[in-house]
Amino acid sequence: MITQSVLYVLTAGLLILIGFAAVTMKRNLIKILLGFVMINTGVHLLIVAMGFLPGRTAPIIDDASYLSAAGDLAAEARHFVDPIPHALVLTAIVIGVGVTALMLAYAVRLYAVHKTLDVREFGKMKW
Amino acid sequence: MVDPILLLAIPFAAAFLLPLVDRIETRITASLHLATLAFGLVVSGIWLAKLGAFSGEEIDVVTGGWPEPFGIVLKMSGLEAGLCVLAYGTALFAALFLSDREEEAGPRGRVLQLMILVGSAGLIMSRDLFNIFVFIEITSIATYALVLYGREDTGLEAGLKYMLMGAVAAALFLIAVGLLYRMTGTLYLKDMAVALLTGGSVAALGVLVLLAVAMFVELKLFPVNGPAIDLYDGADPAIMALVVGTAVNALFFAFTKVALLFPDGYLTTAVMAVGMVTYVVSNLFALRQSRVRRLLGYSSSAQMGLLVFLWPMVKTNPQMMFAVAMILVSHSLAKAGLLWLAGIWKGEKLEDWCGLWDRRPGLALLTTVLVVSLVALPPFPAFWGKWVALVNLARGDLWWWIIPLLFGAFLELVYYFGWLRHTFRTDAAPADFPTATLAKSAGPVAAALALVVLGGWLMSSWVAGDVKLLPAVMLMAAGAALSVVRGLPSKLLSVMTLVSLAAASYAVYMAGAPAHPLAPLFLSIILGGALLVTFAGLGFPDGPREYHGLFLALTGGLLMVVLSVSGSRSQALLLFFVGWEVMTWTSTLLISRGSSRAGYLYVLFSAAAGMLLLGGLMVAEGTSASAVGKLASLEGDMALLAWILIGAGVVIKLGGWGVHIWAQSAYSDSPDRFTPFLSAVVSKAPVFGIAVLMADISVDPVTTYLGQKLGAVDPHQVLAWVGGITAFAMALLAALQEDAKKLLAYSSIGQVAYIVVALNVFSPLGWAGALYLTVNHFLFKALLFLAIAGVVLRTGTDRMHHLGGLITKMPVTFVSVLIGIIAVSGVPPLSGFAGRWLIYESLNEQEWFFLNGLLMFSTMVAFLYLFRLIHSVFLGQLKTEHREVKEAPWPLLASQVVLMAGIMVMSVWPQALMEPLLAVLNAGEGVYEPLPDVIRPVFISAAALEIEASGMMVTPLGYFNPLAAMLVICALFGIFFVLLLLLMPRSKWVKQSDMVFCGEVPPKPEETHFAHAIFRPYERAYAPLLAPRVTRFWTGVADTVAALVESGRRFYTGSPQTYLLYAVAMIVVLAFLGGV
Repeated sequence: MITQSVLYVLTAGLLILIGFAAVTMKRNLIKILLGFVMINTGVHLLIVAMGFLPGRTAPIIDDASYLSAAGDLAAEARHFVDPIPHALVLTAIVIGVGVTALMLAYAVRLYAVHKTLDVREFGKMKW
Repeated sequence: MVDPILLLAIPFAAAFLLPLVDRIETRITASLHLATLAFGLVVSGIWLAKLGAFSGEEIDVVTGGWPEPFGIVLKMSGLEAGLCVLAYGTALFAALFLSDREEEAGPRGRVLQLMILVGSAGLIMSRDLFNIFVFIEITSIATYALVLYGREDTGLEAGLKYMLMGAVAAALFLIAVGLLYRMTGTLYLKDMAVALLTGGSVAALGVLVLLAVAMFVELKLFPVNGPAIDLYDGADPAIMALVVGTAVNALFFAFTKVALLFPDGYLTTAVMAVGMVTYVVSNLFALRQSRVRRLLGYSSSAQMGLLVFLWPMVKTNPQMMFAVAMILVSHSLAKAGLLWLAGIWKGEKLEDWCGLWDRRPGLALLTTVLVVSLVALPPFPAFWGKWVALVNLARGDLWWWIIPLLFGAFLELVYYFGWLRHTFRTDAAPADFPTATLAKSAGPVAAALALVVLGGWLMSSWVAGDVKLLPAVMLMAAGAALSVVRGLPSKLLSVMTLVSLAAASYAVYMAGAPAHPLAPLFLSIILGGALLVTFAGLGFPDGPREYHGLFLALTGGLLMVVLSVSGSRSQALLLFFVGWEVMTWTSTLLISRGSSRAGYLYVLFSAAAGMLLLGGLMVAEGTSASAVGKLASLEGDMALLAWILIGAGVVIKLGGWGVHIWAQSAYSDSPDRFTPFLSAVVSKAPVFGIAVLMADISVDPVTTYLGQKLGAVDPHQVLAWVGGITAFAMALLAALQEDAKKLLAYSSIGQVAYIVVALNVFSPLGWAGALYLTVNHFLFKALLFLAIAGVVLRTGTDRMHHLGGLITKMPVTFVSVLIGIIAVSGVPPLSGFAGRWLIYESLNEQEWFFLNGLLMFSTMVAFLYLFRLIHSVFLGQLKTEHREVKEAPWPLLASQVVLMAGIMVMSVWPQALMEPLLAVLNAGEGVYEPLPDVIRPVFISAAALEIEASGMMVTPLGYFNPLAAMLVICALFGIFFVLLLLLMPRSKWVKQSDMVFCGEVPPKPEETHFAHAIFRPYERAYAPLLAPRVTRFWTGVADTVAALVESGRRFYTGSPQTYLLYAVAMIVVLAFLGGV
């Protein structure tokens, strides 16, 4: 049976595969960049899914009563999903945005020089 | 102490401040940038000094008050500090280099330069998998952006590919981070490694493969290195220099930390294999590169491969750390320096570097130093690193990796010298010559200087305290000093060289008798030869500026070869090889000055010889348990293997038949002032190799399948036959030459071959003959080459049929050649005879009659060419254009007179040499006993040769009295001379042009000069033997390799999408092989 976790992982895998297909098969640079965005999204989803634990909530302490029960924080923490993947994904998203922006900058410069976005035109250097 | 976190924080803060500061006051932007870098350099330098590079002492740098694993904790140890010094140093010089560019020197460019540094410093210091990911990305993004700013369109294409590949690698890395976190519950590499060790599963292996391939992309390993190589090719070299010094090292260091996770067994082996394949394949593909920067890219890839290959062994063997560190530092400094030079010189193609030595000797010297240290030649740091790596490989179970390692190193030498040779060319020099500003040349100068200092320091620590090696080191240092000084007149440099040589001779003398009994003989040849040839050099017009420095270093290398084995030192083999390689590369450069093609051919074969020799030494280092006497203690198959490898190296270096094709051009095309030394002295190094290294190994006769048919085959006999065939082939080739220098070149190899034969007889008689001939060969070959150099200097040609009748114009030179050829030919009364006679006797004693016959026949053939040398050049008709020719300059003549005197002494008073020699040879084991790494030749017979006070040599087969022979022959000559004078009718003098040739006035000198193609009948008779088989064979080898490489490198299709698929394929293959 497909649990929530498995669903996340499958979706993430699908996103990565679709993205990779776009990256390796499309000729238009913009489409290739979109493929990268999909790969990134898939990877982010995968990492979040790694921290997902069924039946638990977001690791946000919104109820003061959690804090009052001093000494038993560890027990309270069992209500939460693992927060570290979230932190990782936040960082990874920022980086991904940076890389995507830079890729677009490349696309702009390349278009200015070559008047095309066909990636086959960018394979002059070889061997 | 300054908190190491500042190494990260200060450039980060400065990066944000720069644009702001730039708004306020543009002029201080650069100062702030440089100040930041200088600060980082000082801080990391202090840490390096405090912690020491290899102490292993670690400092935790806790951030935000949270300890591991909750907070981010950085580490600082000697290695981190060293890498930071490299990174900040490179960044500082890169900033200077880029300071005149609008894009890179603007605030945005400077921000990006600083961000690369932030990322690198972070990579160096962090210990946590996710932080490594973040810093990889910071470094990469800054690199992509800096390339985007670059001025070159090719950079744009390369940058795009690099970025696409990097993005995929980042995604793989991130997936691995997530999954590993899931499996282990931590991001700290140390904890993660422990957790994986306990719960290692197939799934974990799959994830680690993802991680490994991501790192392979970053480290540009084969087959995922396509985009990175394009980046080297396309991006601005100045930017790449910055990347090499910072990001590349940092990424490798990050890899070393990630490698903690790789379990022993499959994955570690796979990583090593990928590293080694990269090293070999990248070096192979670099062979066919015509573009300098692409070549540097392949080379970087190869070096990273080597480092990745070596790293896993550090875990079990701390000595490997030294090897890795030295190779990394060398690569970083040398590659950055070369990229800067590529940025200054702007030569895109290898050919564009033509004329560098002529027009910009300073830049050429820098290029040479950096290339030589990059290819790990001594005394530069990478050499010591590679040696340690090889020795440790040889001693472990992984010894067979040495084979591809040496092959890759050979390829590396070949293509780098293939580039370097163009710098010597003078033919197609480009019209405009860029000048290097101070800011631009500061980087390469600093890199070269750092390499020289580090290399010199390592060398001095290896020879530490050994007074006997001092002269060799002294000469090398003097050579380095002389190469750097500029603007001194050539004559003064010659005098300085003479002074250095005299000082070295004095130091050798003062250090006491070298422990090796044969060393004094070879030392005298080397130092005497160097002094004579340098003195003769005073007679030549001003030569190239770098000549004297290289010459001194070469002499130092030769001294090192001889002195290394003189004593009970455990590093004898290492020091022997150091001397050998210094000798090789300095003589390569000296030959290249005469002809870049000859130099290239020379280095091609010498590099192969060096690698074979190294392989042989590694057999000894690896299998011998004793610290000293490693060669002597070898037994059985290992002894034979070492003997064969060393023998192959030595034979190549001697120019044995089959591998002689380098020698003719090396001797004939090298500068005239240098050829005497090359032929007379440098050729003695391999002789010493046979007499010392090979004789030290006790090889038994081999009984293989062939042996069962023929009886046991004695390897010494095989080598002796190689010598015999060489002697014959070279004599034949010499006879058919039209150029005097080519003739002498073949003659020289042929004569050394006699020595090889005699040394392999392994009897006191044979050795006495061989060593006597060694001294004589030195005397007569120096004499002949100097005499011919004088002729070439005065007439401008060494084509023999363009010469003639010079006896009246150059009488002293004529006498030199006369004495020289009589000595070479081995007829009484001159010294050549006694040497031949001893060799023939020793062969008879050994009952090697066929070989003896071959040698005797070769001597007859030698008469043909020797006669020709004197007849065609000095006798016959004087050419019209040579009417005004003067005698050779006096320094040349003076040197020749000294050499003639030497031949005369050897001829009539051989006991001067033979008595001490026989004392050594007849003493048997006793003399050699206290010496560990020196010869202990097991002679087949007891002392068979005696020499009397009169100089009479007595052997079981006969006797020879040189003085009597001399007197008798002089008397006979005198009688017939007087008789002829009295009986001949008075000759009638006519004018030279008063002649008719078959009723016509001959238009061309060749037609009056029957010396042209004089031996054509012999040539026809021997036609089947003379087909250029060897040349055809080697041309075939070269063409095949070229074709293979040419089709192999099509692998890099240039399409970024193909490259991405290679990454996927690599993951699949690695996972599949690992059983995932």
